[in-house]
Amino acid sequence: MRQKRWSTEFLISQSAANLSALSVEDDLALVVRCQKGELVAFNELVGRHRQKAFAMIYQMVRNEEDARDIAQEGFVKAWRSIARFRGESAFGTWLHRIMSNVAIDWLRRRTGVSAGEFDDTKGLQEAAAGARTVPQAVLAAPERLSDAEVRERIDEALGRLSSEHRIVIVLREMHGYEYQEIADQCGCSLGTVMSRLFYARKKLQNLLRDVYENL
Amino acid sequence: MKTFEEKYTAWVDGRLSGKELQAFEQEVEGMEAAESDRREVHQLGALLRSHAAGGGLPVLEPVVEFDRAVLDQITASERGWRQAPGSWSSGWLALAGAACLAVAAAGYALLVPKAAVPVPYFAEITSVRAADPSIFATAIQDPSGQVTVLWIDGLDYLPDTYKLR
Repeated sequence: MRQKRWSTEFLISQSAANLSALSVEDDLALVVRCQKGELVAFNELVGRHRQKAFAMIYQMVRNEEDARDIAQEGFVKAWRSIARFRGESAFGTWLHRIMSNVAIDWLRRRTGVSAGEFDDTKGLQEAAAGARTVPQAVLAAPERLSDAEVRERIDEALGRLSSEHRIVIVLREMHGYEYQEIADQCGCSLGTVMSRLFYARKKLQNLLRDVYENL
Repeated sequence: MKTFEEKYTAWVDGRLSGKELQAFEQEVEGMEAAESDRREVHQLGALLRSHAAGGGLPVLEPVVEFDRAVLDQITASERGWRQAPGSWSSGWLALAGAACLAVAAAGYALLVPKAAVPVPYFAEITSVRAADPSIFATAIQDPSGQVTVLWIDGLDYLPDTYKLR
């Protein structure tokens, strides 16, 4: 890939100046320009995909500052790898995989286990038993929650999952990944993904039953 | 062999069919309760998807700073790549390797002492010094070391005090 030294100021001004021209280009056309070394085109792609990437990473790491740093790292990786992008999937899908990979790596590098994390062994005893007989629903008062309250409850519930369980829930339930894709990204077996999904769902069912039953 | 958790997840997501499905349905105690649980899991999924799609997530701000940071990191990393050996082309690497070999060979030739090579001549001159500058002394030694000849020019005679050192 042709490499040029660009000034950030120049790139941002160029990006603004070319906005109208760029906006009519689809992602693939911008990718082709990126593959020729045009960082201005990449800047446009960053603009188009940053919010989605940030949101997905935030769901996994639960911290805005960290999500921002990870998203930046993901975009840098995307730029370095863009020469290998062959257009077999949409650019957004390709970028999404890079972002989730970076987030998973980041979570792996973190040491220590937070108090809210979910213990698999404990889950096995509680959820597996419940799964065969199906856990009793804890009936909450039929009180309709506001959107803000729902968001808060979901955020809180996701935050109480272990990072491993959160990853599979975010990728599977929120972003529609297949089991095998999740296994590839996490570097674990298909069975492990399905098992983690089982426990994560059970945990969330217990935490959010009153929310989804009263919507 | 799949665990119960794996089979249950596959069943909830509609991934079991044929004999696998039949076997699972026989294994589960109380299919009605399980069906109810599956509906719950689907409700949960719908809730999470609406949360992901809706505006319930924090917004990345300010975007200009974010874009600037991304571009700064890219330009910095590319400068690093240009300086790093990893970015050298194979031609440059080959040239650098050859240069290193040449330097090593030259150093070896200059610094490593050579093994004694037999002198092909009859004799060799050893260090000889005469006290009087008008006198020239030459020493000739047989390579076998058995005979040494001292030849002195400029002396009418050899004084007693003149010692061979």
